[in-house]
Amino acid sequence: MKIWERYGIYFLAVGTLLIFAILTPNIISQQNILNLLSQVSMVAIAGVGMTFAITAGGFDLSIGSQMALATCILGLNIPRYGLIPSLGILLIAGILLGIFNGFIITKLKIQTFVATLATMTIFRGIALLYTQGHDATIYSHLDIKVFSSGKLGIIPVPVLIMLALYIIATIIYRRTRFGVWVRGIGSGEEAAHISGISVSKVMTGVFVMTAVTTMISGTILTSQLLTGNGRLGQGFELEVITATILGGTALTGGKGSLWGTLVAAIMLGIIKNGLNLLGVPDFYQRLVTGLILIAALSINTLSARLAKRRTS
Amino acid sequence: MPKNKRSTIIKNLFADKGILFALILLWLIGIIANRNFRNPLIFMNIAREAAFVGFAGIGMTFLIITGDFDLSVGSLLALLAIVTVSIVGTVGLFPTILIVVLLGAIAGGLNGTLSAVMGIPAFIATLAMYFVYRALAFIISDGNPVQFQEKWFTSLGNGKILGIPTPFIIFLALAVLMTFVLRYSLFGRRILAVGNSKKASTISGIPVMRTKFGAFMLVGAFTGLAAVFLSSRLWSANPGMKYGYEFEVISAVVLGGTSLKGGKGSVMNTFIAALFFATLNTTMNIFRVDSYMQRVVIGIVLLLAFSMSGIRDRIEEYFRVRRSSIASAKAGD
Repeated sequence: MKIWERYGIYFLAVGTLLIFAILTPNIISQQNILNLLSQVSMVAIAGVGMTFAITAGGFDLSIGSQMALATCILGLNIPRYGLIPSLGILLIAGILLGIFNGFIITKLKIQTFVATLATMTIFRGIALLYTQGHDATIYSHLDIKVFSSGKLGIIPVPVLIMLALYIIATIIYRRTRFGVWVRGIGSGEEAAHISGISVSKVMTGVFVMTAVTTMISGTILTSQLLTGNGRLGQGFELEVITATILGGTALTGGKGSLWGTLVAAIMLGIIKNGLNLLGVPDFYQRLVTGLILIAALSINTLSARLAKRRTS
Repeated sequence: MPKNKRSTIIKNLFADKGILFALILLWLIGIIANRNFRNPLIFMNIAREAAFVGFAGIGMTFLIITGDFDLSVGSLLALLAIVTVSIVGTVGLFPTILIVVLLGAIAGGLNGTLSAVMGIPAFIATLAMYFVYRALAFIISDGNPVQFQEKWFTSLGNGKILGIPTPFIIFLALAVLMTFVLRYSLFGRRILAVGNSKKASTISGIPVMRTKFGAFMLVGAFTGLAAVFLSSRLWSANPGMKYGYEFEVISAVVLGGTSLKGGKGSVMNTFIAALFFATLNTTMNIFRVDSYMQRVVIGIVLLLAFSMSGIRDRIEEYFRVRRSSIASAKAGD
């Protein structure tokens, strides 16, 4: 039963892929797979930060608004300063957003859920104010296109970024003290505090991570749309949380699964892409997402209950 | 009724008055600073708008007291609003209300089955249903807005009784009723007990699962009521309506002092918090605050309110520790 809990998402993903491969063989063409992976990259990349946040026992509901803000920052600054300085501004903005979230959570002692609920509204407001709700278009600055349609060999740049981030994040999670601290705080904040971990610093670090990874997702989105707008990214936070939880990261904290998040994000992408290829209206994808989430978690909780009954 | 009992009822109605003071303060500022605010019609509008978040807020208060919350109410609202608009012409007003509230309760029961009965954490269970209900709203409406032709139905959301907006009257009546349910009924006491300690409740024989299930059904039923009034108010419904409604509702409940940790909360304070939100929106409109700036202000107000309760808890904790240390020092003499 432990095996299901840990690797269930891999079975689910392969199963989903098989079903769609039978229904619409186009889905496993090389072109489509690369396309699918690029589409998935935004949720997957923000999923890195979210996996750390949920492992530490927190949430970040503000990332949808952060992503909107990222597109606005790029949309307004690229025409003025060019691509590289704008990315620098974006990075600084991301770090500041993360520190702001971290400050509220650790210093004002507000639970992460409600704290980021409030900053979700604030960041969305700032994003809308920043462009006055208008589109900030950068149709004539095509150098940013490299983040969505650029390729190295045959592999799209967003996919490369995604894979690189997952490798780096895995090293951070497994091999660094920061990773150990994050897991420690998620397992028990009190105990972590007593054993000398600076909970507020680590938590702030986690929220900087969610913000910075979201900025990267935002860069890819801007590069796809060549537009910045404060209304983008609504509901993005829930998509990312869905992928993270489906991937096997425990909501109770302490136990994260980075590659699970990636696979879950890919699986959600397969569903969306497969239904598209089959010509099913977009909104059925939400239905399937919801049902799969229920199915996966019912199996988890029921198997846990069975295991408990067997031992007792 | 004995006098001290009555006074505890009144005390319970207004326990934890921070949000009430904030509301009165906001009203005073508005009245002093702006002439438009002195028009009673403004208050009628505030009262009307408060009801739409408030209905679901009443149910959500019960659920949050048990220590869970429901992320699916926005999607459910859209789904039930579409159902309302689709059936109101054929079945009439009261059957519509009955059917939609019942459907809401069934949907809430479904959430409850997943969460309370099967043991999936409420956050994830209702997150899944957030996708499902929204998808169903799109599927049954084919992605298009729906409208009703029956003009009489608009009076439910837009009408007045004795000069007071109908939704507000119903909202107030239900808030008072549910305050009594929470404080004095078996179900209400169980809700509070489960929120305080699941373990202690189980040991003392309270059916924890059924109580939580009931709270989920209550959220669904009240969301149904919100759907009926809102679609009447808007003359229509569309499957993409009210994204983020779940967050508005949860914010109002938490702003009213109901703790996300469970065990503590008041329906009357949710009622006042809903009024506070509506007042804040209206005030900012009157003062011509940029509509984007309004979001920033709302977020900051939420942050202030949330940190208040943390600070208050810490002050209480401080005094409790001090009192007990004084007591033990005295005992030591």
